[in-house]
Amino acid sequence: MTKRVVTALVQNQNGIFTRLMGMFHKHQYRIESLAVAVAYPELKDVSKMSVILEVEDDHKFLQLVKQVNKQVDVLFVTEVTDELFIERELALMKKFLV
Amino acid sequence: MAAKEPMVTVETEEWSMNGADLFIQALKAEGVELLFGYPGGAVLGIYDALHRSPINHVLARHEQGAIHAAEGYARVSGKPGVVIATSGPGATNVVTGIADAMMDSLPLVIFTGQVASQVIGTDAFQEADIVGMTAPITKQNYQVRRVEDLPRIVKEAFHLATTGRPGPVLVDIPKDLTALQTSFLPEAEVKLPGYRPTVNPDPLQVDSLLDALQHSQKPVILAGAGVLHAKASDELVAFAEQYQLPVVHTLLGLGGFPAGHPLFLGMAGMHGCYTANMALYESDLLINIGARFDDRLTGNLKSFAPNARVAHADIDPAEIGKNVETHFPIVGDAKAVLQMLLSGEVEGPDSQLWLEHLEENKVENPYWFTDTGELPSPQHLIELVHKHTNGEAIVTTDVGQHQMWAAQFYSFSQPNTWVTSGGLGTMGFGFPAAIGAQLAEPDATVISLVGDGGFQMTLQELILLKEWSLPVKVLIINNGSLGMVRQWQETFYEKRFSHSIFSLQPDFLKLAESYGIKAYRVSSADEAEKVFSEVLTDREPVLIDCRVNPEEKVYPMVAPGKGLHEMIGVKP
Ligand SMILES: Cc1ncc(C[n+]2csc(CCOP(=O)(O)OP(=O)(O)O)c2C)c(N)n1
Ligand SMILES: [Mg+2]
Repeated sequence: MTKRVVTALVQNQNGIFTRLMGMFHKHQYRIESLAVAVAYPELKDVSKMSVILEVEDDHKFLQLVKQVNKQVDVLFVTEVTDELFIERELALMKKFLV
Repeated sequence: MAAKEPMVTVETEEWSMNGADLFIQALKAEGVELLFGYPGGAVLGIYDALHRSPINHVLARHEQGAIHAAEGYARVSGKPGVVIATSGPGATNVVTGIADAMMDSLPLVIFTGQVASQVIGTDAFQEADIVGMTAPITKQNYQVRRVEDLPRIVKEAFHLATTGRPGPVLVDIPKDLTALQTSFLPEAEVKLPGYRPTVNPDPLQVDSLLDALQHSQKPVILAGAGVLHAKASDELVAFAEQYQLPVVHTLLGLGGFPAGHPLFLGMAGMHGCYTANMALYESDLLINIGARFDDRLTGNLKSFAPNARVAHADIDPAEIGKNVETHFPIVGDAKAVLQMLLSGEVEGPDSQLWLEHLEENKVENPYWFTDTGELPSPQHLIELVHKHTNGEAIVTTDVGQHQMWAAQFYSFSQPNTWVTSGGLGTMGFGFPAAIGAQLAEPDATVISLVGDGGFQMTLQELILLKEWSLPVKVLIINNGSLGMVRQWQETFYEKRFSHSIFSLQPDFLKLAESYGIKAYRVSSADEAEKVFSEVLTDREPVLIDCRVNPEEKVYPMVAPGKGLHEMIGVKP
């Protein structure tokens, strides 16, 4: 089990988050943490979404990332395993949430 | 009917129209000539605008019939199938067809009415969150929020449905928007920064595949429906011939490579033939063009193509490596990939022994059936259908045993003549799909092979054959049962035939008669021969109730959990 972050830059329209949440569910992932924010103040339509997941099987995880990337309103996806990065991301999210 | 064209505006008064007119205008801009649909409260405005437009509309008798007809139309014509349904129940009635089109990558654009913007979210009369419901089964979906977005959204919907990996796109239109007065809007621009399908393959990947090809001894091509979508049959034949590569089809790929070609091995998969399945199992280089390694094709993945290096060319990068480890991933359109492979001109593999071995397998292990029962065997009847249509008909099927027999015994030699529900396996698909196929190809002979079970799911569309003068030939392969369920119960549940045998059937002849359609019953091969020769290529619709041996089973079979090499029923 490792923790992973999937970060996606999306066009925040056409119910993209319904699509993405449904997809995590379809692939049987439990979302540990989720944050969405407008990524650039000058681009109100573009949001950055970060999701932290527990990952058991790298192959399955890669399939999920590919499916996320395939979505029409997803501009790009990155996925990170670096523990330090995840710690930082988590800390940021906490700050963002409180 | 007078066509509504944007007129030159009078200087003082902007020529205006309502949202519904704007919508019809946008459909015309996409070249839409035919719609399949069903009206209702939320789309009254759209239907009113349709009334003053020249676009044809097929009024199905159930929205499911409309959408399967649109799928048949899309499959045969390569053009998008367009569907209109009202909000709520109209919209939920098309859900099965949307899921079906998603699985089989068919280009559909579905327009649903929605309750008025002001009451969305209040559980208003006939409100259903169709955008939420269809998110996982559409390539993309939209709810229109502003009337001025309509032209762009319609344009994007058609663009998305028909490019890259085709698929269904749904557009939900709140009723109030269709009534809003608006001025004519110039053609919209597609704005899809997150959508960039890769059409042209990476030459380096293609080169490394060609390199591997030179050194292989047991190469085989697995060709899927991607070849058909890309209109790449000629390139497939040329590539196979250039390097003497044997070709195996998936269920949905049939017709992409001519069945009579000496390099064709047949269909692979759960009910594929011995030679095709063993070729995949024994191969040392498997070249997949436009197939998605579906579980019904691969059988148990642990023993799938155990000795092969695998090349997989697909327009959808998410398919590559999904189920089968891939050594040569090639993202691209099947036609572009095959063209690049053809331009390679490397030394071919030395596969003489391999081809001889496969030829021997073909001769020794053909599909088989016995003809001993009182009633004719369904396989024999399908051979007769082939004979009396010169193998040139468009064949649509429903789902079940008859579908597999059609795939096995109607040898397809042309692309886009085979219409079947593969991925979702949707009973009720076959008959309405034939209606769409015939509308796409008015001069073709269209045969709809359906089971007695599945036909009863969408038979209400029979009236369309009369209404639109469609000479579809409906052949009910009537085994008095849900044959495929019955077969599994016989084989895996010790013959406990739980709810799979019909105790009562309608009189299909009288049924056809009440719709004004000629009908026949055949209960022997001789009768079939006589009726088929008389009516199969007629220009009139006909229904034939073919009574067949209910005990007959589909063989060979790869049982669930087994590998392709573990087929049962290879020989009588
Ligand atoms: C909508 C739907 N419901 C149930 C099934 C499961 N199913 C698959 S084949 C089959 C039997 C079909 O019977 P029939 O149409 O008579 O065709 P046959 O197998 O007898 O040729 C059933 C019930 C299905 N595929 N689709
Ligand atoms: Mg049946």
